[in-house]
Amino acid sequence: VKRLALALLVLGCQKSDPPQGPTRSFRDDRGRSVAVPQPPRRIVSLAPSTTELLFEAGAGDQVAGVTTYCDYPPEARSKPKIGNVVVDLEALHTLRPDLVVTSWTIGRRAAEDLEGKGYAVFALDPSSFEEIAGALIRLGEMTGHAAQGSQAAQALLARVRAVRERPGPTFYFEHSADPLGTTGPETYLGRVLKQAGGKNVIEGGWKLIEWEEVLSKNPEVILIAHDQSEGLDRRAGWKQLRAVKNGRVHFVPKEHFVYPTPRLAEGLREAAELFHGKDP
Amino acid sequence: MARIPRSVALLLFLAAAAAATAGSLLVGSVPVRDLTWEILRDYRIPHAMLALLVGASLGASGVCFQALFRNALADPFVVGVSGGAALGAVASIVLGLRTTLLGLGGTTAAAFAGGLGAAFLAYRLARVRGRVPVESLLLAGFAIGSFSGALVSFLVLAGRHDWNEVIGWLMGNLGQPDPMYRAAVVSPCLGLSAAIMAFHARDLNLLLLGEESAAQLGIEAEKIKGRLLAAGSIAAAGAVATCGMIGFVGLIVPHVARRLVGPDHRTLLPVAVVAGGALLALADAAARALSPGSPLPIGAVTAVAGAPFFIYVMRLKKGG
Repeated sequence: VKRLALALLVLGCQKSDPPQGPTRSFRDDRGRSVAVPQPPRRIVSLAPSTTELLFEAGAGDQVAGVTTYCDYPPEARSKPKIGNVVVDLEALHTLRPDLVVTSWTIGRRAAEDLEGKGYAVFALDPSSFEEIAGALIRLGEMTGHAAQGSQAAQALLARVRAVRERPGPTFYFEHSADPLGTTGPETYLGRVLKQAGGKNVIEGGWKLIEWEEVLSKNPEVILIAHDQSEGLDRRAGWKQLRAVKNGRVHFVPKEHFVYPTPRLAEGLREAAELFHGKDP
Repeated sequence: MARIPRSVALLLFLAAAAAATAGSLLVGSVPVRDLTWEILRDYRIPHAMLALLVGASLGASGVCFQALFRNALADPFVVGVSGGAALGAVASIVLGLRTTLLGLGGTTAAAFAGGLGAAFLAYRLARVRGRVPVESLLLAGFAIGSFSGALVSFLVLAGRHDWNEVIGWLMGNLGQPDPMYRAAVVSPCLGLSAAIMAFHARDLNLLLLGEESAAQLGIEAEKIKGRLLAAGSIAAAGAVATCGMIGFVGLIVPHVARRLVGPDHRTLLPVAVVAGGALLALADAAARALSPGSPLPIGAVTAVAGAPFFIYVMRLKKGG
């Protein structure tokens, strides 16, 4: 029993190995300076968006673990899993990561937890195309793929510039049907939709709304980014809506709109096309 | 609190329901100056009707189960209906069953079937040699409810699905964009179960007195218990399948109604039906008035307002 207790004690106190070899400091999106081993060899990503950014920046081979929600790019699916919304500390520890990358917006608690346990945690929180490009550049630099990171950033910004901002129709964007979830112009997604030329009928940021607000604002375009299309025509006043009468209810892939990653540029292009028609 | 005649109590709650409904028609995301007849007709009136119908279902189901189980803590979800419905709904969400079934949306149909299935399973599990002791039924219902709850957690995690949708469902939601459809699902459930309960109102009185007096019902007793269980479960399943889990209404309303008009179910049932509708309409109006634009989850409102009120009623009983 004593030996077991001792073993548990040792296990409990064991911190992750201090980075051996050279490290370099990078400032993350909460303004903290993180010492990253050069190069990091075993990176664990705690959010679908950071997994995607790491792969885009060229560090896919160094990714040692991801969450069960990380399904893009497809290669990410075959990486070892370290949990879902809850981080499985044991699984994470077994992978002996020398760098943990996470999204500050959704992973604040886990980030602070893991930092307390001695892991190097780099938190990202991009909220515009410029910041997504910046994240790609920094991730490329810190993982030893400076060229690819900067290339990915340039490609992203070029795709964004290809969409000319000009005034377009009023719209309502729905990412969840039950409860009714949408965003106003004050989120990264809201800004993207504005850049695509739409005038949002909803104000503010991410929020749950009452359907009557859509009825009252009667938008010209409705974008649906979830798969609960069944039952739309049962909605109150559905057939009287301008967007419905004019055939301007469109289903868009959620994954092009809800993650702050390069795929958001795809969302921008799609939204602009739906707002203005094919000609860019 | 003195007892009041049935007609007075009914009028009282009808007035309360009317007032709450009128109030609920005036509050919402759209400010009064922008309100149009179309919004009232298409959304607010069906929405208010849905609140009344769901509240009435929960009240009726609560009265029925508290008598059937002779238990003051029994509520519409006591035989595992809510757990079963949650399991059905979440399974349909995770497995992506979006098809329509007999005019019902996939999730509504699966939740309804899950809720009734749980109650039926509890009934079968509790049956020993043709008899169903209510204690066993209570325990079986509790076990099935917990088991389904656990399965819900597993499904949500395994399915890597949107928590959003599942959590919204578990918190109860009257603010669906299709209130007319939901009201159309709840009404026949309420109608059928209320008719069965009304037919057996005297039997509910006997059941409440204990197994011995229920024995006066003779060989009919088990049959009647089965019917009442079905009635309470249908009302509860209709409510939970359309609007998610709205707690406390089905627990409080029977107690309040009983304090006002006494334990005779011929009086108690109609009063509880009207009182349940009034209470949920009021809670709904409050949920929308307190947070315009982004209504509070109705299940949270009924629990926050309901728990202290329940304690108040309980203390009254002790004192008086």
